[in-house]
Amino acid sequence: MTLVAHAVARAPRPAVETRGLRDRPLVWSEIDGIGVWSTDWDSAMTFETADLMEHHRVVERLCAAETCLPMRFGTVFASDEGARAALLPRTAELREALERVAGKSELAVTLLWKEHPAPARTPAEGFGPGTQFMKERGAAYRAQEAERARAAELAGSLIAELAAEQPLVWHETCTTPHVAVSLAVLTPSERALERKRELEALVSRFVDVAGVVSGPWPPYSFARVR
Amino acid sequence: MSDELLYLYAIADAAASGAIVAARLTGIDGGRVAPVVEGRLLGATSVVPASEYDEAPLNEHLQDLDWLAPRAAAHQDVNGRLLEITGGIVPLAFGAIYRGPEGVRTLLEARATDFRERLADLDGRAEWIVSVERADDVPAAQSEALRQLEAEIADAPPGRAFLLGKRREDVLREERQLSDAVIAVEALEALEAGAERVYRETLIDDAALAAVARFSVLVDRSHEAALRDVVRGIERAASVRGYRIRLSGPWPAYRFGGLSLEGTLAG
Amino acid sequence: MKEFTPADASLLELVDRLLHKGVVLAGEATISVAGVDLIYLGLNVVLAAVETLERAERRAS
Repeated sequence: MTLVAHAVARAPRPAVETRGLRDRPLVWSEIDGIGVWSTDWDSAMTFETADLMEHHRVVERLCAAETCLPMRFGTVFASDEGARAALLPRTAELREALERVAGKSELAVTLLWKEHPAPARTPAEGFGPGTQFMKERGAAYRAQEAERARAAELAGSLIAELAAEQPLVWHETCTTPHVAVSLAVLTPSERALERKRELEALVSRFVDVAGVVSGPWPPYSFARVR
Repeated sequence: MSDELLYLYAIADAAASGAIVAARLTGIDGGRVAPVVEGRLLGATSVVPASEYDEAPLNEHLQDLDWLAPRAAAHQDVNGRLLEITGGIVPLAFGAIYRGPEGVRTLLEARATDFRERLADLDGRAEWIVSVERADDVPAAQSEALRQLEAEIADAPPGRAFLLGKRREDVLREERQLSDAVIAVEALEALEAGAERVYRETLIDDAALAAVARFSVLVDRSHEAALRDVVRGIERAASVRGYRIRLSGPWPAYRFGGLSLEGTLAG
Repeated sequence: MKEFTPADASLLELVDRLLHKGVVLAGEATISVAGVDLIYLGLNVVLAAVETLERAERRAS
């Protein structure tokens, strides 16, 4: 028997109708007031593409029924015993994290650069290849710095708009050439769709980036325990 | 009930009484700083209006930064001058208020031994604050793991690059936390070797503040040049790793000799 | 190099969360397939997903 973990919740075992991956039964492993939902998995089976999204749907259904902390996809326990042993040292932190996300869902805001031109080649006639190289390097560096500054500014204006949710916001900037800002915010579930529309209206006002608002999702980004 | 209260700035040796009077210091809200002497100690005080400084209005004002900031600055100005004039004071935190000189005398008498010991400990010394901050332009010096991730990102198609980019952020964050912790410990060790007393202040948990550590340091006034050397040494090691060091002082010994608000509105 | 569309961003943000966020407990095993680290399994999954999405878009247009 192998257990593929989906989400942590408070004991007693919440009442759910949901089934696990590939319609297999869900198992509840409980210790010290905390439990984890897993799919009763056959260790001979391998994962397929669809299982990743299926894990997401299982987590969504579990979180809809009861406050849950999503587990990272790919977490497996050898047995019910193993699951409980893994929970035991962290029950206090898990309880705290459950309180933090209770009644809340996650929205993601991604700002993508609309144009990402290659650094302009400044024709530097009359200069040797060394100077030309340095000039190009300088131009690329300045472009990168300008982009970083603009991304920070965009993130700042988003965060100002999310004053109500603070401190339940975190963000990253310039993770890759396409991404200016990637931000996650925890918002009350009953207002999540309304908030999503507000954020969509907000990001549509930016001219240099395309805004994408995703979710509401279970609170993946806010489930981490130290 | 009197409509005037007495604001207490600091405690010093009674021998400094004449010098304080002669200095004609201006205190909070324009009041003249005057010593209240009891035995071998004095309290440096000035008169403030009860309408602003009695318990209820004062507690309200303490929430109001626009009211508080200039007065806290005046409080520090007085204590800074007192430190110069007397060579050693026990500074009080902002807002120690007494109904009149009797209350201050009672305090000085009741805790005479404690105050004399504190003054002896602080005599000829001053407090400095050393903060370690992240520089805005953290240099691109990176670990092997990060360099590899960046090389992979450069070659990856957009989807993979997106996810690797997010992983790089995680790695960066973790490495930064580790590097913050290391620099803080190094700074602490260097300061402990060069100062009489060092106290690591707790930081306000605010990502907007770039400080990774802050230390209060007590040094003899004759050793200030040595402290500056120690700080320069820390700075040299820190700047290549993307940190800068800020040194401020000399301050009255708020950390090592200071008193809390105990006794406020007593007497 | 293929362009990066807003539709990809939504999917990739979700996949990032499924693979990189969420509770991690000490002492658990993490799945690996034929010695391939899960992260890479995940990335291949994603790339497959993005390609599927693109094929669907091409058919639609």
